[in-house]
Amino acid sequence: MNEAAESGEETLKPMTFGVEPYVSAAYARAEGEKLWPKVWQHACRVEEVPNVGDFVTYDILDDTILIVRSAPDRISAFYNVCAHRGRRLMDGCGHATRFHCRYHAWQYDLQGENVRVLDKEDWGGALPPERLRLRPVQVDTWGGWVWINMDPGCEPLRKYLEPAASMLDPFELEKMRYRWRQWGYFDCNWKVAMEAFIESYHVEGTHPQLLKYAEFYTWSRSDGLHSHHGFQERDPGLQSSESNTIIRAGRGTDARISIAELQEEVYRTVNASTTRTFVNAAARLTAELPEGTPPDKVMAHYMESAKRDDAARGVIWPDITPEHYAKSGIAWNVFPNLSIAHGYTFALCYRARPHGHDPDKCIFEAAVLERFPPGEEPKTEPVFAAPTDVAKWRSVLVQDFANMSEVQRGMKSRGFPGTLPNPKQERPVINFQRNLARYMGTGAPQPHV
Amino acid sequence: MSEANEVLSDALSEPVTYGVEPFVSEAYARAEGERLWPKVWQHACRVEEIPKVGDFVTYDILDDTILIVRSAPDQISAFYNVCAHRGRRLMDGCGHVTHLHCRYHAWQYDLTGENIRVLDREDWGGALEPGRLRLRPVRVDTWGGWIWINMDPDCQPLRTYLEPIAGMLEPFELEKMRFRWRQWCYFDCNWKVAMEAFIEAYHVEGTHPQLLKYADFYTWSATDGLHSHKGFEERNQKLRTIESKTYFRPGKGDDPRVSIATMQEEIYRTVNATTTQTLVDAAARLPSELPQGTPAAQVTAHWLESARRDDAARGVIWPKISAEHLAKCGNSCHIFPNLSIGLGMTFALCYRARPHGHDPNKCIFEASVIERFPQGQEPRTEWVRAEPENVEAWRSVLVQDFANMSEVQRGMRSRGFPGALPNPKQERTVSNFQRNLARYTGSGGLRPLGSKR
Repeated sequence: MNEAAESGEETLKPMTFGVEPYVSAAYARAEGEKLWPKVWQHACRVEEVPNVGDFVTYDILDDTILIVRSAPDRISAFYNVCAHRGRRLMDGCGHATRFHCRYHAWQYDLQGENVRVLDKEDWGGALPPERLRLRPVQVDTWGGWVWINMDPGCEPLRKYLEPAASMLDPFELEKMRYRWRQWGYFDCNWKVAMEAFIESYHVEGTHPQLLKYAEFYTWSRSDGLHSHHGFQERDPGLQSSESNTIIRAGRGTDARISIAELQEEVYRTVNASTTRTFVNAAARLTAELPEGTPPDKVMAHYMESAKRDDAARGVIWPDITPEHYAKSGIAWNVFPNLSIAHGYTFALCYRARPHGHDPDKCIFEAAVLERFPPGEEPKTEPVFAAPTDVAKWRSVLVQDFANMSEVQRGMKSRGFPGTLPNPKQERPVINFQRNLARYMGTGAPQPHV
Repeated sequence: MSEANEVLSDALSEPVTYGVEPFVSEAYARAEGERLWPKVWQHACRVEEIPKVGDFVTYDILDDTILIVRSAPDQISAFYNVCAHRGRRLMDGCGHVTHLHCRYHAWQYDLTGENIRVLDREDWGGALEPGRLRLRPVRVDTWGGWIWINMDPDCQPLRTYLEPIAGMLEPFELEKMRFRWRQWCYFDCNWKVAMEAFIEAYHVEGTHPQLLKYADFYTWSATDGLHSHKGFEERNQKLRTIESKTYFRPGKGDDPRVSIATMQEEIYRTVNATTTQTLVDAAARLPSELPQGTPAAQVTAHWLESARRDDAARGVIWPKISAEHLAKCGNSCHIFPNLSIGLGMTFALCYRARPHGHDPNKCIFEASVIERFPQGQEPRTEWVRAEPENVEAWRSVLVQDFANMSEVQRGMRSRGFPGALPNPKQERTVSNFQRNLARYTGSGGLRPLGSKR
């Protein structure tokens, strides 16, 4: 890795990087040694383990991790492997008073201590207690997620997540709950999938139908390990602080109509990045405001209506200044594999991770979080959906998914010497590759001459 | 291979551990292809599969394919199943032929492997050496009704290799049994994970909890050089009889007449093996044939005597095996590397697992039940593929076993698993398997529990 790549400013210059990280089987194996066991990974949401004994398993490559609420105020994580002969202990998620191995009936309590070895006297006292307990894994929470790290010497989660954590704290992600969650397999490397969602330079090429509502010029920033990006109008006359965010006026001569149409379209074709409250408040704009109201006034009225409507049903918006909101943009990439597209009351989250050791396969998950009135949180399950299933994914994500295997395919061609990421709009992609190279010791982006 | 592997006692009474490399490493799986499979005796098929001259079976193990053929009424031959011309695999599956014909360029071989036709042989102008033309022979022998092959020309004789198991099982006359059923499938685990699930019964409480109401499943296990065997035991001394170590155990409960009948019925229905219709029927009659309060040993003796008489009446004569010898044999033997035989007087349940290609995470698994039948009433069977979740085909007990396969493979791959803790009394079969494997592959093996390396 060269020094130039270490400097954040270098991303202003055009950079390129090669395809090895996406297509090499050796690289995929090395990720299993150098990346995944060293990083903080979100394993599940806290809401998935509300009661003592609730557990979730999280599998990453060869490792399988058991996350359990071991006390009312404590979540524990262990390697999900029976100490006896290595059977994966628990499967999926559920509730247990203790963990029972379905091979030889060994048992562990919720703290991972062995509480039963069948016929223990057969060993004549030779079983070392430290060989018997489930091996602990580092665990912490932030943003309503449970995070794990297999490296006992890792830095604290909060430190790892900065500055993303402080920037997103005001959004109170921990108060959001699942609205829906779906997953599927992609025929591409997990990084191809992540990189499709951490930039919005692709909107014109991938979602051309959205261009009638707004421009999709974007800015992007690197934030140490992480990065984020936001929208921007190409036309300075349309620029407002909301233009940086998912709550934008869009283009057109009548902001009352453009906001209403954009909201309706996004809700229908993405089923995320807005809420029913926003869509309804936007639909009332033409009735509530006279023609010719300036865009900033329309926007202020719209936000105030939505905020009031939500408050009336028990959803109190977090206090976020327009300046902070603008600065936070529309989406964050938390290294390595969480993308969060956030709003006042919602977030659209993506995760991709390897599916076995094949660099051409990944598991992709999307989840929409939202603030709900207390007691009205929906019960959800992860639903499997093929990437071509428009009924389940809606049209916009299916458009994104259509790029996955095609990018993987193209990058494998000897006719592709390396990428040309946009130095202004795709810094999250460049920064992702740069940080990956720091873990992997190979493949850093280089200045493109 | 660790030095410790060789200093442990033959009986393996010490608590030991072993690592996961043999189960998960691709390099190890490849090394097995060089150091293990070409060096060991492997059962390729049953003698009954090739009764007539010209009947043949092929047996594939990793990159090798072996052709077994009855080349004369009293002779079975085995060759590498590869045409000498350009290396096409010669025969596929099993069947009957008068000569072996290559479907690529029509070269032909007789049943003893001699080339009998090279198309346009004159094109070579006499340069074809006869030594290059014949099918290359593989060592072959029979024992227990199986045909065994060995690719090592200098291997020890089959019988020597199989001792002391061969001597111990001789009285069971396995060679007189015939297939009752045979099924196979693929597992997402290493072949050794599959074998090790069947060469110990310490797993019954965890894997088959529904069986605990019939009997305790404490077990003992013993090493036999390359091989090993194990048997049952009742934890409660008062319930023990000489048959407690075997499949003919009275089990637990107040009334052995009832416990034998219910356990036999359950096993026949949910395993479809390790007993026979004769034994089940004779057990069902026990409550009507014996008064309440008959001691377990007498109930068992009466049951076995009835079953023996019933079998004799239909032409199945039981081998002569003393209760002491049966108890010594226990309920199953592991023949290194990949044959497990669970046996009784008139039946055996056999398992085999072998690699499926070079992926350490895949194997081919086969189960077969062989049984004594009246002459002429042997059923016709074929290998039937059945998915591991198919309860109808495999019955519930084996499906429970199969559920552990991919989970063990998955767990062993985790960095959170430092090595196994095999039970020093009940799982010596597993430890001994790992020790002998290390002797062949030169890597892995046992370490005393608590030692650093």
